[in-house]
Order: sequence, then C-alpha cells, then structure tokens
Amino acid sequence: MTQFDSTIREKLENFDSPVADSVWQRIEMELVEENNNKVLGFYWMAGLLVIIGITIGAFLYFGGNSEAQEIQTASTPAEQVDEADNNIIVTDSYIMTTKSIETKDSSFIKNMKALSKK
Amino acid sequence: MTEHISERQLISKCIAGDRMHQKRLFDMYAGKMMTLCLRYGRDHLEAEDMLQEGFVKVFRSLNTYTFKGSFEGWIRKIIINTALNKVSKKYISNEINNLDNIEPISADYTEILSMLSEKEILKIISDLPEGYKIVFNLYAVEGYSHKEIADLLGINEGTSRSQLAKARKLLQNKIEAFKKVSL
Repeated sequence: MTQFDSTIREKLENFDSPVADSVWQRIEMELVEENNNKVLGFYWMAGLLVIIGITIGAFLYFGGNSEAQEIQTASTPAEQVDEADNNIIVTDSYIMTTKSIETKDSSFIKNMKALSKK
Repeated sequence: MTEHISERQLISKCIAGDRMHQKRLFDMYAGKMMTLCLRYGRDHLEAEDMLQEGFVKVFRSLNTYTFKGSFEGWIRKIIINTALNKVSKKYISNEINNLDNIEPISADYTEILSMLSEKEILKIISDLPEGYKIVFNLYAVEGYSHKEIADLLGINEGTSRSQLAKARKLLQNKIEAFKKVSL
C-alpha cells in the first residue's frame, strides 16, 4: 500500500457521512414487515397442524369404529352363513317365534289361573 | 439521556427485536457505513439503498455474530458484500495492461490529497469508473489483497493489479484537475 492509499484510508475510514432519516424509516418498515410475516407464518403453521390433527383424529376414530363394527358383525352366526336378505327373514321369524312363545305362555298362565279358580 | 449499555447487551436487545436499541445500533454505525456506501455507489440514492439493504441484513444475521473480532468490522463486511452485490461487476474488464507504463504517484499528489476534505475525496473516488472504483476501494481503503479481490470478484490477480494502477493514475489526474479548479 502506498502513502497515497494510506492517506485516503485515514481520511475516509472513520468519516461519518450524514444519513437521511428516511433510511432508518425504510429499515424499520422492512423489519416490521418481516416480523408480521413471521407471526403470519406461525399462525398458518398452527392452523395447518390443527387441521392435520383433526383429520388424523377423525380417521382413527371413525376408521376404528367401523373396524369394530365389522368385527362385531362378523361374529354374528346368521350373517356368517346367510345372505343379507335372508338375515332379515331370519330375524323376523325369530321375532315372530318369540311373540308366539309369549302368546303361548300367556294363554298357558290364563288356563292355569282358570283351573285353580275351579 | 441514553443509558450506558455494553456492546453485548445492545446486540442481545437487538436480537430480541427491541426497536429502540436497533435504532441506537444503527445510529452508532450508519455514518461510517454511509461513507463506505458512497465510495461504491454511483450516486447518493444508490448509496442509501446499499445502506438500507446492508443494515437489514445486519439485523437479520445478528444472532450469527460470535463476538470474535471487532463488531464494526463484522458490520463493515456485510455492508461491503451488499454493495458488491449491487454494483455491476461487468464493468471490470479482464484485460491485463502493461503496468510498466504507469508511473508511481509522486509525493506531491499525496500532499494535495491530505489538504482535501473528506467530502472532496469521496466525490473524486465515486466519480471513478465502476471497475477501477471497486478494486481501488477494496485494496486501498478496505485493505484486501489482490488474491482476495480476485476471488471475491471472479477475476484474476493480474486484472486486479492492472485496475488498481489505472485507478491511481486516474485519481492523480482528477486531483490535479481539482487543484486547478480550487486555485
């Protein structure tokens, strides 16, 4: 480095040039904007996580229930053997049978009561 | 009245986003960094843009400052890199001139130079052609070596030496012209 270079360096190295107030205002605006973007980004991320959480929760809940139903249904003997339509018939006949048993029982009780009165 | 605060405390407050302390840090170094930007920029507006962009980078990367070496030097480096990204390096021609024809600057010019004000020297430097200005600033004022300049600008060392010699010659002519006008 020459003496010429050193003189320039000495003169300029610590020299303060005036700075317009608008420069800081622009820097501040950029920093505020950046901060807002960070906050917005945080809310977006939080929202996204909530949606993902709800979706996974719903999948596990409903998916899990339908699986349980499937297991329960599969263990019913009538359904294991018969077609869907037949199941209804089987169920209906079961109800009818139950009713007829109830009817038979009540008439038997009535008859017994009548005999005991005699 | 401003409270006394250490450099470390000031930096911590700035990292935490304390706007008042960020402004304080800016006020501490803005003047010196503006001088730096005026040396690289084509005009005052471009220098202000460099300063603004540079300080935003300073605040963004404050958490990476390791407290090794001078803090001012760290800021200076960021501002120089910002300035170099903004100026067009295409003006630096890769031709290597014969440096034998360029005479060394005589002591007379150094004496005239010492009589000039900082503002006048700034004006003379900022009026240099883009390529000369960048190399002269990096070598003579910032203290970079030709090897560092070559790596930084993607040119060879010979080009850096050549640009520096031509910058000095041109500065010499400008100082002479300046002296004639002022007399």
